[in-house]
Amino acid sequence: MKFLLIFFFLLSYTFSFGQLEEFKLTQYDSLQKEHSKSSIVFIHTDWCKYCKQLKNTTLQDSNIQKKMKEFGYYFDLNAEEKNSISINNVEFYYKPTGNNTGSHELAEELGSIDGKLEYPTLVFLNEKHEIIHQIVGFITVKEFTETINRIAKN
Amino acid sequence: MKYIFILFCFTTVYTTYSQTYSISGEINFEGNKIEFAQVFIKGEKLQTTSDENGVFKIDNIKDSIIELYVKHIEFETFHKTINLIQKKTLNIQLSERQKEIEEVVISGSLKEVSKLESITPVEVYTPKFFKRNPTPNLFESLQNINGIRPQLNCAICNTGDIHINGLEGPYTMVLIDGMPIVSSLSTVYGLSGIPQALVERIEIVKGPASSLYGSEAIGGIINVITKKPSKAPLLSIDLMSTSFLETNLDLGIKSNIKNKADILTGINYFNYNTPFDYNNDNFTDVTLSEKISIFQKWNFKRKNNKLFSLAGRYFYEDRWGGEMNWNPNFRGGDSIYGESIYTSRVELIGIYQLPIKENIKISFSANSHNQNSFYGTTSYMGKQNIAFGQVVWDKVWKRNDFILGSSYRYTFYDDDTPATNSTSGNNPNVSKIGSVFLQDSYTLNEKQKVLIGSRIDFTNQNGLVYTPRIGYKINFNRLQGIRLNAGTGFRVVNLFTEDHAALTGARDVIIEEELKPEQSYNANINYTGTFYTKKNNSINLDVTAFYTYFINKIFPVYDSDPNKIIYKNLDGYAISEGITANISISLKNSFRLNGGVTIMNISNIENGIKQQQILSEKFTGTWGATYFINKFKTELNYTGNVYSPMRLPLASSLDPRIAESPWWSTQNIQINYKGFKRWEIYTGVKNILNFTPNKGNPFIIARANDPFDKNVQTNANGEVIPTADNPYALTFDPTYIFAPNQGARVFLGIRFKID
Repeated sequence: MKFLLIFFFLLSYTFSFGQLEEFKLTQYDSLQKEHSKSSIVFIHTDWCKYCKQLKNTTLQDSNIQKKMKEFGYYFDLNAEEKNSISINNVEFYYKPTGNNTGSHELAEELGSIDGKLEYPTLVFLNEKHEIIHQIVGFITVKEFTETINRIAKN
Repeated sequence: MKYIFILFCFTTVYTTYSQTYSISGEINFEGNKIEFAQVFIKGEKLQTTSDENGVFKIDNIKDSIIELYVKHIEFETFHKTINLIQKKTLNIQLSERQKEIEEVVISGSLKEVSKLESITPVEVYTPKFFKRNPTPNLFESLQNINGIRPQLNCAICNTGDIHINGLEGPYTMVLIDGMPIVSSLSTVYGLSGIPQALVERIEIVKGPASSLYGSEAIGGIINVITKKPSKAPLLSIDLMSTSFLETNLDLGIKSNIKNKADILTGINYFNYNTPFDYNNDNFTDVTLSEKISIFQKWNFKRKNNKLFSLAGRYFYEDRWGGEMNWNPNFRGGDSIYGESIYTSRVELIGIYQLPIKENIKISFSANSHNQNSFYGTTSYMGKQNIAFGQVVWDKVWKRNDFILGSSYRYTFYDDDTPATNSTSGNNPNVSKIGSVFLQDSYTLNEKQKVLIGSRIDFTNQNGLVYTPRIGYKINFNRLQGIRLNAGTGFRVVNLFTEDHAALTGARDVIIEEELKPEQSYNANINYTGTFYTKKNNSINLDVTAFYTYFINKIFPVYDSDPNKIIYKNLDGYAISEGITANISISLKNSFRLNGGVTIMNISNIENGIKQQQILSEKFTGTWGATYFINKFKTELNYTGNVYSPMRLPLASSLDPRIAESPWWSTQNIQINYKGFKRWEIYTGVKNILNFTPNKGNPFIIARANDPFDKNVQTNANGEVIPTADNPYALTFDPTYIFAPNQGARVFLGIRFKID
């Protein structure tokens, strides 16, 4: 429960069918303003092999995509994103630790478990912007289905 | 950050009630009361433990909005933000620690070979990759990478360097977190002291990479990326010992100065002081060594979130090899032969980003390398100081990513050999290089990028050198792509960097002419592809063809005169060409397999005669297999290398040693138990085939029985003549070495960490 953002009044939202739409977290505020929903954030880096494997296998599965769409918005976050991201007027910055290496505060904020951030991490947020679950590492379609069903049930 | 949200939401509440709060509650799991759960509030020093009824209470809380954590070893950590004005008691239901989390954490950190989106092909390796065959330092662990071979240059003193696709160490540049260590000795020393527990990943570029790094990077780049403060363990210890009684200790510490800086400290200590002589030549098989290396990196937190990092390292090593009964009293003497080397080295590197809107970074590198050594009676006291500064402006404009920069490098070198003597006395070698470079990476469309770079170096010794570079990348889809890179390179030569082997034994170093800078022309093409099977297993394929053409190549001639090593510019040209391919397969969480082969040809062509370069192989293969047995929390590893024959430096036409090395292979196995939370135990056997270069050879070191050449007879021309005592007309020579002279050995190690 890292996020306690202000509620905005709800606006009507037209549901779109088809492939799972991928959003950037810079769109988080406006999406939530339009239609408050739960979210899944996929935290990865461009050098992490298991991130790519997860993205190109499990997350491509049509059943998984359907489940994710039912769950809410799907956001993609590169943990080494260099631009700051603003959520509810709070800026999260890229923190460099060397020449062309560093990590984004928002990735650490969302993905850290006991202060540690590993890649890939999938973060589940409820519509109150609270973290309800985090999955670290590669998971199979079966494991993902079980997890998302369990989360959706609670 | 989260407190800002909270402040935002509850400003009125907070200002009205400035008092202390308390919270109490009960902790349960499926109806059972949980004792000894740790309860604490983030950001406050208050904490407690639940009692036998699962009950806890914390008083004197300053803030009304708290983030409450409940930790217990058997359960998932519970955390929740609570507004204490609304809620003062809490019933907490813990959930079972999820098994799959533990499983996937293991694979989640197995970020192995992958490729960046850059135009130059970059290979990425994580410490997991190297841990499959544990080694005392990163330098040795690079042998697990296809196309990279740590080479020993001397059978007695074990001086080494790294060959990338056949090119020697001085062609390779080492960076730490993108900060260059500008020193031709950095492949040997630049990787020391950084424990693997503090390494996030290592990026490797084979072949000339960029206009950015200039003369030192034509062979490739090794960029060590340290762990982010949020990932590094607080404390890590890795202690390993082998049946040769080699002991290695790695220590990693994370600390910080609140809101000012994050600090990573690494300490490495290595000790091997039990001589072995399995080949009975009365010479130590492996060089004895004691070394310590201390590394520290400071990453400063700046209000404007700009970069400022500093890193420093101190390295000291005392190593020796020689006759078994040598001790330091014989240092430099001619009764018992020994090679004794004291090395001390200090490095400081840093990078600072200007606090302005434009992205301008200033980086510097300074190092001082001192070597105090005796090779038998030959002394070598060398000193090299290098200072380097660079300003780089990175500007993204429309589809262009420009890099404009300028650098200056000053090298001072002095030793006690004729290389730095002139008729007027000692004449230290000073080289100054000023450079400007411009590079543009232009995005043509979603799938294609081009890179154009130019670099001009102004040198005090060789005038003006221009090195252009081009690159092109195309992605067919998000899983497959091709990269083309071409350019020129040059290298000014400093003998210190070349060959310590040059100083061993009785050989004199002769510099035949005023050495001209080496020039190279390189092109390479690279294909990468990732495939996923129906069962979601992944297969990565990576193939590179490379070609480099050298003129003025500087190389040591060993075989024209057994008493001399002659450095000269090659009259003709040299080529280094080949194909290298890697494949890696990972089957979900349990099984990983990788293999690589390199076929290459490194030849010198002089007067129309083509000759394979000495000590270079035509084929290498490397492989590794890892299987994780979830049930036993045990990982099994099998790694190996195979090398094709190399031409070896024979010392005379009568030399009975084999002129070409056999096919040889080193193979290693390891068992790693990971069932404890903080501890890890690993054990295994290195070089299970027990291969040493003694196989098939009457001896490795020529004239080991007469290291001072006291019984060598020469004719009027100074040529060695065969005698009853010296039937092969040899002089003492330890440069004949192509593989480590160390047979099978068992190792045992433990790792401990506190997060």
